[in-house]
Amino acid sequence: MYKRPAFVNQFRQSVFNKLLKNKHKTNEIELQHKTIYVLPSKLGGQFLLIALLNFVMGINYQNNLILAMAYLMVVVLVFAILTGYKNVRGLSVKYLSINESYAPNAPIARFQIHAQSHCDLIKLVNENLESETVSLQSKEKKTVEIALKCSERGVYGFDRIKIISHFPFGLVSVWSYIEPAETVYVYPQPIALEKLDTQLHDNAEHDGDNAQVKAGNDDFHQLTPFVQGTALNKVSWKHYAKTEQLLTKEFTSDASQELALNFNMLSGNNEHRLSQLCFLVNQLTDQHIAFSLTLPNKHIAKGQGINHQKACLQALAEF
Amino acid sequence: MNTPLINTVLSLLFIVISGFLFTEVATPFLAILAGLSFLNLFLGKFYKKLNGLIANILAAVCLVALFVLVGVSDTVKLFVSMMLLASSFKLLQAKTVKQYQTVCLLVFFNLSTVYLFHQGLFETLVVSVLYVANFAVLGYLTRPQSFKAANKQSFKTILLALPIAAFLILFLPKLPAFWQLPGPKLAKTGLSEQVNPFSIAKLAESDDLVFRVEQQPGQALQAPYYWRSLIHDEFNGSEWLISDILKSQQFNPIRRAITHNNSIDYQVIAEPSSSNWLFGLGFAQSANSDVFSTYNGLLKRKGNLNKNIKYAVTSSEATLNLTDFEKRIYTRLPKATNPQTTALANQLAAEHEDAQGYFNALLDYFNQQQFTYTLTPTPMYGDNTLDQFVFDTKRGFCGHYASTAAFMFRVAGYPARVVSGYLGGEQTKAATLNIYQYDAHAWVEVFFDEKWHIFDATAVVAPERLNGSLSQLGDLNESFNDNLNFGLKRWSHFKAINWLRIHLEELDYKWTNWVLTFDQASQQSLFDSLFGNKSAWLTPLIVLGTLLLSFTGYFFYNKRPVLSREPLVDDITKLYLWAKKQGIEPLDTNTPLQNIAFIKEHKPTAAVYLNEFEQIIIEVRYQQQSYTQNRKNHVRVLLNSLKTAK
Repeated sequence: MYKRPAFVNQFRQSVFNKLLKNKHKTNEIELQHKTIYVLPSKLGGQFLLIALLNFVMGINYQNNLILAMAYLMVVVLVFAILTGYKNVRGLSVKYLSINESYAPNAPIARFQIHAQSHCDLIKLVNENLESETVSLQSKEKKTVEIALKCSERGVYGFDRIKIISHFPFGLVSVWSYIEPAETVYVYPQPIALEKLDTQLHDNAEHDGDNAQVKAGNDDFHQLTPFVQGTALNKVSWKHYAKTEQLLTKEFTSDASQELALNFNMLSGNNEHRLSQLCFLVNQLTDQHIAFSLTLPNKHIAKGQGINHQKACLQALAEF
Repeated sequence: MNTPLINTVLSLLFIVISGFLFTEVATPFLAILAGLSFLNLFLGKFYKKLNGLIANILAAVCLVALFVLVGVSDTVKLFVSMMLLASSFKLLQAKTVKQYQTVCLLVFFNLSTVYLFHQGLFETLVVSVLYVANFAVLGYLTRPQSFKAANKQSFKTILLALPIAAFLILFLPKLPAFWQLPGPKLAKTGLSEQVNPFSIAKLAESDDLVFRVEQQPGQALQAPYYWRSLIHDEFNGSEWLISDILKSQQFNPIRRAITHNNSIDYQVIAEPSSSNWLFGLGFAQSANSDVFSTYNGLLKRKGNLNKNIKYAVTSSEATLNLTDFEKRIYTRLPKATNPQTTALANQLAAEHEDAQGYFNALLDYFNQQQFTYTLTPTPMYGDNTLDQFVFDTKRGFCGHYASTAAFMFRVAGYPARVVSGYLGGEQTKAATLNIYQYDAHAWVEVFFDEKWHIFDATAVVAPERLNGSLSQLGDLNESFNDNLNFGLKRWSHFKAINWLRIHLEELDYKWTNWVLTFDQASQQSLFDSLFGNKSAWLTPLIVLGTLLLSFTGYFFYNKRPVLSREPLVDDITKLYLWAKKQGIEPLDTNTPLQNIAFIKEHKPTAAVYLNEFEQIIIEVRYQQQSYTQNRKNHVRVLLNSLKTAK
């Protein structure tokens, strides 16, 4: 398929930005005449072409009936433009939320559409992605979901989402944009670690081997069920022998001294490491284990809970 | 998407459009078009589409059939048929909404091509219905909810758009044709360039309108009306033809002094026709730019045969002199044909020396020799058909008499020619005459005393024929009606049908006069009468102003009805409105039941009705009982009682 050269896209983007004047960079937009754009759709263009053909035929044969049909078609198109404009006027679209997404899945944004008056055939379009088409009664609210374009790990500005309707007859495109001032994070794809060891521990200043000894040899604190990823030397083998239940010995120093996730301690290329870290962050959060995260360009202090997880994942996405 | 429905509607559209081509295109090709549409109907029912390979083979076969059956001689018909064929195939293969939309667009073009062949009121009505249906399909493709609603919306839109389109036709300056494309050749009966006694008999079978005449106030035309159309100056022994000399003189007219007397003005509205000869009384001239006035007083159309034309005519009696060359042309005869008739003519000429005497003698001869006028003459074969007619059968109609008389004038040495055209006309309203194909007639013009004189043997054989249309002829009426093809005319002796026929005819007259023949000249005169000399700047102003006004009006008027699918919504809204009038504000956040309780508190007098209302809401909304007509009526009564209750 033909692909536009990059500079064309850039040029297009800059022209768009100039024309739109940041009018659409809000989390909620009410469609009014300044923010509604109307043009004949592709079908409408072809429709006009047929009208033109009819016009030429009518002129050539001096046939009033054919001329009338040509005029009728043009008038209907103008009506369609007016009706289409009226259809979306007063509609408000509000950004609701975006789901957590891990590469290679694109995040899905949710918008609430609220119609002042009866409103037909609205859909959201993000370049070649489309939401379902909804029609709203007067004062009705509906939630519409649309996928964003970004599916690779990273941080993105919000896509400019088109709010479009082809009502009536499909002859016109009446559209507007919404570009919420939100940052979109696509987290790395979580990949489980092949080798589970204690390298994770905060031992950057030591050699790896010593660290195992050092880690939490203080007072015994409690036994917790074994979870994958815990160093095997912490397993209470005594218990295992008696009950065949894998329990982990937790020492006071463990609880106080954090698990330290470190980018440098992992193997593989950057993306692979980030993926592994992502997996660990989620695992540890699920197990309510506190941890810190060290990336070459960032350090996140020890923490726990959803917010901590989010901060870590965002840091991973930003890397 | 309900593809069977869309398929059905579009297929039916194609079938009707093909039907309009019935008289114009070879029937086998129409059968193919209809077959494709029926295939569409059939396949559509089962959500099926034609397999690609089969479709391509079928398309190739149909294309060959198109060229063989329709032919390339008439490019317009070929083009129209090809468009229709292509659209049918597009429909056969359409699967997605986009493809169906393309078919719809093609239909918009196909529908307009119907007007190349038919512009009658009835056809226009049918095409308009198809337009509405096509817009409905287009709307339905975008919003596939209810086809009925789509039809309604489409109808409403077109109804509102129609006045604006009509306004544009009236006021948008009419452009001349950029380039003249060939028009379609219409399959219409009409006069032919050879007068063969049998050909006019064919025309008597047709009750198609040929033209209308509008008389000007104070300038009533005098019967008999001899509408001249063609002049035949060459006799080849059996037929009268237009000689090449006469044809060439159309471009190279003989210049001479002509004195015009008794001029009279009138307007003619001619129907679409297959030949470009027009009609006028006596020596006719027209200033219309689409009409060519020939040097011998005939009128010809310059183009656009497929459309009605309205032109003003000035007719007069011309006084002129023939050149010797012309005299030779108009007395030429083939050698040694029809010896008996030649002998008769020579005998009469010997008895009557002057032209007028010979003229009268000939009339007397036809009068006294028991010639009869008939629409079903005895067929004649072989040479010397004139002899057979004059001495054996003595039964014939205008063609026979004209052929014979012109021959006999020429034998006697008087310049004579056969003229074909129409005789008579049906008076519809006070000032309008209708001339139909069955009024076709042929007569003789003979030159003496510096004038062409009309010699019509029919005048003595069937004198009634002169003063009325053939349809009004008492004796001949029966055979005339038997002769006529299917048509309302045939039953015009039933009063109701005749009443209907006359009113339809009047409607058609108005349609033709106001809509079809509205051209640049009529537009200019409209502007002049409306704005006078200010039309140059007033017209664009009025056009823009009206457009702006009507579009603004549409914008504000166009409130779309709010369809509430939930039952009782409208009724509850009405109840709230009533409550507001009473000074009670129901809350949007409350359920209807809560609000009703709230209203009851403030308006205990209405409690009786409100309780019943509440009961219905509970039944319909909460117990999922259906909102029957009974309940609807009940609610209406309750609302009314509330309004009237003190």
